[in-house]
Amino acid sequence: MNSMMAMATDNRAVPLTDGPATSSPLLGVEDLGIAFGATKVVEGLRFSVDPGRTLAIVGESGSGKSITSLAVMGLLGSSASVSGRALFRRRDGEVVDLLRLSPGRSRALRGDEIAMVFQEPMTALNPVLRIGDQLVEVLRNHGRPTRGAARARALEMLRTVGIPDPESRLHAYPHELSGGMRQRVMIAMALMLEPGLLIADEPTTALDVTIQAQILLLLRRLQKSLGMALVFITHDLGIVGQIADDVAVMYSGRVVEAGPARAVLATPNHPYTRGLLGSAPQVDASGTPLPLKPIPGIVPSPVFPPAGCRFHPRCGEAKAGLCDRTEPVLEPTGSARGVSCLRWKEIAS
Amino acid sequence: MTRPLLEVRRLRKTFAPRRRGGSPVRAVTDVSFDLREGEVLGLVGESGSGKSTIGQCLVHLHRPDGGEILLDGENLATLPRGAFRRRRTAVQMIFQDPSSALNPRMSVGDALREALRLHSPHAGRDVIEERLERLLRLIGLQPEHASRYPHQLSGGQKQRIGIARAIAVEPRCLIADEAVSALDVSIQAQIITLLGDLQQSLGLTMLFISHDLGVVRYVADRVAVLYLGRLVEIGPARDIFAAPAHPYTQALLAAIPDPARPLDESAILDDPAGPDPRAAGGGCAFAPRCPHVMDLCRKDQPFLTQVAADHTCACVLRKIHPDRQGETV
Repeated sequence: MNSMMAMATDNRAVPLTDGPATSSPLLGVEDLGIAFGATKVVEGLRFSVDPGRTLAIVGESGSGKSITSLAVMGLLGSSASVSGRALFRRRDGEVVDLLRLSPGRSRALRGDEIAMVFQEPMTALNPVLRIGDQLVEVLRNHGRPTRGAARARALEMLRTVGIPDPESRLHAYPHELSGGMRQRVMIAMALMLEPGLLIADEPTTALDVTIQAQILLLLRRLQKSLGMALVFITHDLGIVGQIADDVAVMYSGRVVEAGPARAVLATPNHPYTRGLLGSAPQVDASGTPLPLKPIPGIVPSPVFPPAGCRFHPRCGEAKAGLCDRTEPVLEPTGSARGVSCLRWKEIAS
Repeated sequence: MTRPLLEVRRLRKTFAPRRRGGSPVRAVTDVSFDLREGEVLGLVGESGSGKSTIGQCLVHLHRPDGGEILLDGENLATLPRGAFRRRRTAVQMIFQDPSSALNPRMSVGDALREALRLHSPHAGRDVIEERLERLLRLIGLQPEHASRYPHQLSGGQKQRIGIARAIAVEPRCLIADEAVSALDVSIQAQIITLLGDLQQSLGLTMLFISHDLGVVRYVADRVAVLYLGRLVEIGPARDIFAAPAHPYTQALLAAIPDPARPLDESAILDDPAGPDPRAAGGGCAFAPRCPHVMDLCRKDQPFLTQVAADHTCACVLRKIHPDRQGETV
């Protein structure tokens, strides 16, 4: 464990730290476990985010990435049992464990200091309320500014997220806007109170690629200007390269690889990360598409997880007698990176 | 040159306004293209470009307002419903959401048997069962999957069944409407690879509709780009990707997420309003968003002109600088 501490001391937003890092990240998730009855969907999860940085959490459907964000937001129902810690440093410096907050304090923090943007803005917005009223509602739920001040702030935020003709959009209903525009409204709503942390769960997955590029650009600009931390959840490594500083790759409820995004994308250590990269459309320098190398099979059900390494049934590098017996742990590999694979050294050489 | 399998000529489809006093939506305006035997034509554009409407016109889910859809010289657009039903197996569709395209109360085997029987009504039970098994293996599943129901399958497996159902009747051509858009990248890669393999082994002719040029690049021999219901560029895939002629095609290319390439800010259409059918007036529909817009663009509707062999583009820039053909604007 000493080596992990050593890794954490280079003061990067290392998703792989042991205990509260010396630099005190904005959000430090430690040993997070989420279970529904006897079914463990997330286990031993650990990552951290520093202010002003972007952590991408990547994985396929069923890897546990969305449920992790819901746990951090305090939005999981009582049917889920959550263990571990999610330490969040508040504006006033107080460090709170998001998993142990009372519902009231959790609600007060949500929207104010931590906000979330969801994949499908049409279901996240209230279809029968005008955009302006929904934006103003955020402010009125946290403190009670005057009507005029709240409205002015709503207008300012719509302008910030690049909505043309914001005055008239205040009176629009969600269905009157395009998908991209609705997602901009969601982002405006999330940033009304300038939260220190924004969690974006697949915010561009339902959008056209052109609009996706616009939203990514917008999020990046806003993050810089507001200095907020961003947790970006996606299944697409292509997007990770475009937005993230750090990346945590999740598989079947665990982090299998983590580190600075550029380094992980350039030289992935885990066979699953390699598989995801092989699945992403890419071109070489001359513009010729690189052949797709899909990962066979699908994410295992958390009800019947495979023994040993959870990826071994789909892994081309799996060794019988080893990978199907021993469960790997996330171990540091140097340069603020970590991997959870029994054979990563052999594979690398 | 041999006659194309499917000829689409000046196809038009306008939808009535949703509200009284609203303006009708011109989803497809005078779109013409060929689908050649054995090729995959990528049909690309954003939401609202009319790409799905074209696909739906081809299988009679919409009745076009004008134009022709010629299959072996027969105009499907004006074919009466009954006559089209008899030709239905000629053009088959793979849908975006396999969950809603499959009957939840029908086992995979029954869904495929139904299609197989439609193709050979007089085949015996043994023949059908044998074909079913072959079909399942062809799409990368096992015979035991025949007894499963859609809810017991993953998204990728359901899409495989959607593909199997479409090819079971041995259609002349396939229309894949955003067939991989709803899938995770890992599953998307599996399905793209499957479609490529099937195309090779069965010599399928396919119209591949997608908003993502990054995916189209892997399957298409030629690419047609639509913008607000009009064809703005069509040509061999290699040319389109190496030297896109239309500024819109260039923007679509720049938007492809690539793990090895950072977001190219300068190349992104940073216009939150998106495509607006009303903004254009009489000129080029792309003019309000175009980085190279000139006065001329707002007045005249550009028409498709040849920029290279088998490659046409509807942009004024292409007309003014014939000597700059093939260059990137």
